[in-house]
Amino acid sequence: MKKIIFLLLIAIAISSCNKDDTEVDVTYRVSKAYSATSVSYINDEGIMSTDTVYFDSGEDIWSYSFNVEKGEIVYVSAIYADSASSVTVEVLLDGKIYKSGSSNNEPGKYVIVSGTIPY
Amino acid sequence: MKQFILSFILLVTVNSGFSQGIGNIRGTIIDSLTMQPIENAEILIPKVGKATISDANGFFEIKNIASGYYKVVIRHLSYRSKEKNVELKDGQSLNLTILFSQEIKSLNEFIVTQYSERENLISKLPYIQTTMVQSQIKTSSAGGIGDFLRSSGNISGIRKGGSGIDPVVRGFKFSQLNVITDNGQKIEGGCPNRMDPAVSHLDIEDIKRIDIYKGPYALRYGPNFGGTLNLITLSQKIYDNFTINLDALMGFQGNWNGIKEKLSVSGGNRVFFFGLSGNYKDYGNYKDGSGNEINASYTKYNYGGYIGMKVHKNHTISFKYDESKGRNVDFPALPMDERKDDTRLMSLDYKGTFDNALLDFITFKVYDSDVKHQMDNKERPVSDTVVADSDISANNKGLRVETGINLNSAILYAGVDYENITKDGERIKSMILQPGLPVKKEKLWNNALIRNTGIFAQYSATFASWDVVAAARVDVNYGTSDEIVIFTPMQGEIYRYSTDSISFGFTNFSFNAGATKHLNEKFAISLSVGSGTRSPDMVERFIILLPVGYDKFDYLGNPKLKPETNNQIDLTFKFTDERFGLMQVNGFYSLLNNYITGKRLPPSVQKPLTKGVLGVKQFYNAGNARMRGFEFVYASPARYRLGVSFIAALTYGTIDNSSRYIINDQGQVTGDEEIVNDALAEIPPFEATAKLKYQLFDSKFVPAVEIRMVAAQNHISQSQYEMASPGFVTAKFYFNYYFSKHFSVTGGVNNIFNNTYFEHLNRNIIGEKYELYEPGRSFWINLYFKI
Repeated sequence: MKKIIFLLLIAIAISSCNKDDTEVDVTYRVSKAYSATSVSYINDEGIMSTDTVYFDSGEDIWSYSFNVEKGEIVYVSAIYADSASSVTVEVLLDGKIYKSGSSNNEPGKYVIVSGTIPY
Repeated sequence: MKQFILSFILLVTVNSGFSQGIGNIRGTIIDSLTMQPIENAEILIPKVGKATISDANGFFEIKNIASGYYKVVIRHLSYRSKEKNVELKDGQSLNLTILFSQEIKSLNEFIVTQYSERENLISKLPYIQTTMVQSQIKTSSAGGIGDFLRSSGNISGIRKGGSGIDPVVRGFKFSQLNVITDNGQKIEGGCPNRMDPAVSHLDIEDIKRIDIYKGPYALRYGPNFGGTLNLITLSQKIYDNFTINLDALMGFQGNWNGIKEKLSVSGGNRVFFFGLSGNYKDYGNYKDGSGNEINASYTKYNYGGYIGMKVHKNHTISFKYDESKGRNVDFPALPMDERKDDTRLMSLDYKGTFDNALLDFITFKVYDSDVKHQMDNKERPVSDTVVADSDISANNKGLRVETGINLNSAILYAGVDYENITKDGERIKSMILQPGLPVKKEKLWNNALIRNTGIFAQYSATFASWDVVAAARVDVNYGTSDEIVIFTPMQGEIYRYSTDSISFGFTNFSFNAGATKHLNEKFAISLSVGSGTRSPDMVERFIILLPVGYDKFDYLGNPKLKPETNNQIDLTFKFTDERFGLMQVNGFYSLLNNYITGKRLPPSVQKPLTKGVLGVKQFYNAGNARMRGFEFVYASPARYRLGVSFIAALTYGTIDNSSRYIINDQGQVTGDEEIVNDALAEIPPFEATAKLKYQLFDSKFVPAVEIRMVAAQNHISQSQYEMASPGFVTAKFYFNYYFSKHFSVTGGVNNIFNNTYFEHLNRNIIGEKYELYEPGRSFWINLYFKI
């Protein structure tokens, strides 16, 4: 009986040391645009998607959120044709800005924010 | 060559026909206090590899031993081990009475194995063979086998991160060493940059002992060029009555904030036996002596077991299975880190021993080692522009059959082995700053295959005051790969090898002969001469533009490489005396033919794929290289509480002709110049280790201090722009405390004075100009439980 209790204690001690916190909340955010903007991003299935977003004012925000494991690639890009427009692209991890980029009055230029989620 | 083979055959023939006296060694083992016979004491004669167990009357007998000088070793778990030097004369039946001391009857397994540790310092063969035993593992804080091996004389390691240290024996490394598990299983690592060498796929806590054979002599275990490391895992036991054992370990290492745990259950009875075990290690980054944090964290765990059966008297069959996992293993000195490693090892073994006058034993092993290795550069600055993921499958499956045949007082080992290595994998590059996230796939291996079939024989004999060992093997080796083509968007096709031009085969001959002359009971002198040939490995044949070398070049494989041969001679003096201790001095000289290294290809021939490298080198046979060196070992007599040992070793390596690339002020390679007698790269400097141990409380508490002195390495390769390294001195303290048969503790402090230092073989940190420093001061403790 003592042997069994001892064995159980060791098993509990060993199992208690394992940890699992590998997932991160990712949010892509595109804002401060004033005209139609093409937004491309890697979605929750790891596939590249492209949306054309019609921004009416600088207050409008486009966002997309999903959960992903650490180490995965996150990618979002934006491009517009209107020379009077601008755009700000951000990637947030667990609600905090991880990377961002912007352009102002630069039609035809890709603003790409991309990287891997840190371990 | 023919003359050498002829000489070898003659030597074997002459020895086997040598008329020599045969005798027996018998005796009784008695408890010195109670004068009662001791049952189950182990009596062995290492020189001839014969052993027996004392019966209920304490009686033992070992028959058919040639006359000569022998050391008889007597062991029992509850007693202090004993050695006795004897001379067996022609036709004599030597009768011994061995008294086991009562004073430390509660002697623990640590102490028993400490005596093995001391005995193992002196080679029992005509060349250098040492064994590292479990007590050394338990009193070491090493997280891996490579790390642990560095505590042995003239064994170094190439550190690229916190784990996966790649062993280097007398300057021989990588495929120049034959690394096997349990006498024959081989493992092919997945990473071209050897972040997962064979030793990294086993947990150090599962190792019972490591047999180290230096030089090209141990041909029984596979093609051997510079040395063999045989990793013996925890043994499978037959019990008289049904028994279940439980072993557990909980360990902590400061500095790394690392934990290690082990749980194993084993048992059985007279017919069957089994074992289950699991290990878990989670180590963080460490700080060097200056407090700088080194990204060297890793998580590794494994689980497995074995089951076996004694199918008939002296016939055993067993099956072993192990899965090991590596997760987020950091390698700051490599362009990538190991993200995930899943390794599965399986083996089926049969062993039969015979009471036959001719046939001594037969062993059969069939194995499969499967490695799935994933790595990426996501923790490197370059991943801001290009994320590279590599996924590689490496498999080694094979078999080994060996038989032992009794020839009077000699034994002939003969057998065959076979291995089939396959490797496939690719690298996926994601251009994360380009619109649309373009992805490029590059083959690292394209269904590469190496197959080796070998036949071997080793003859070991003792006559009068001579021990003779001679061995030979023939290997038929074949390598091929699917077509290799490399395209780049800007340059189009930059490299192509078709299947027809990539397949090559070789037939290699290896052979050696050695003898030990026992001048008297105390002095012996050994001489060994051998030639070991190895075929080029996967990297050398098929690697496709990856920076796998010491220098900053992309390397290209060369399927047309010829095999590399090591012609070596070893001369060893041995001294054994109960009053003065043990001493061994060895010197060796190696002439390496067709030495394999890299040669720069002009950019007009081949451009690199990797950003930031200086160019491309291709493996080629560079002609002759030479290694020479010595080893010195001393251990004080076993009878004192204070034990002192001293080990020193040096290797010096040169290559007759090599070329050095010339770099201009802009850091560009502009040409090459020839160099004569350049130093070989990555040769460890002179080092010496002194160890003091003291036995307290009936040897239940044994503290020890170890001081390691390493000289500067200024003999460095010009052709590879190798950097000199300064010398250093480190000290460590460790102890083992045997509380009871259920509980014991080991612990200690590494790098007591918190020195900031690095080993010469440590690789540079990627993107930095400084070396990968060793850990600063580190406290550690291991708790062992046993039921």
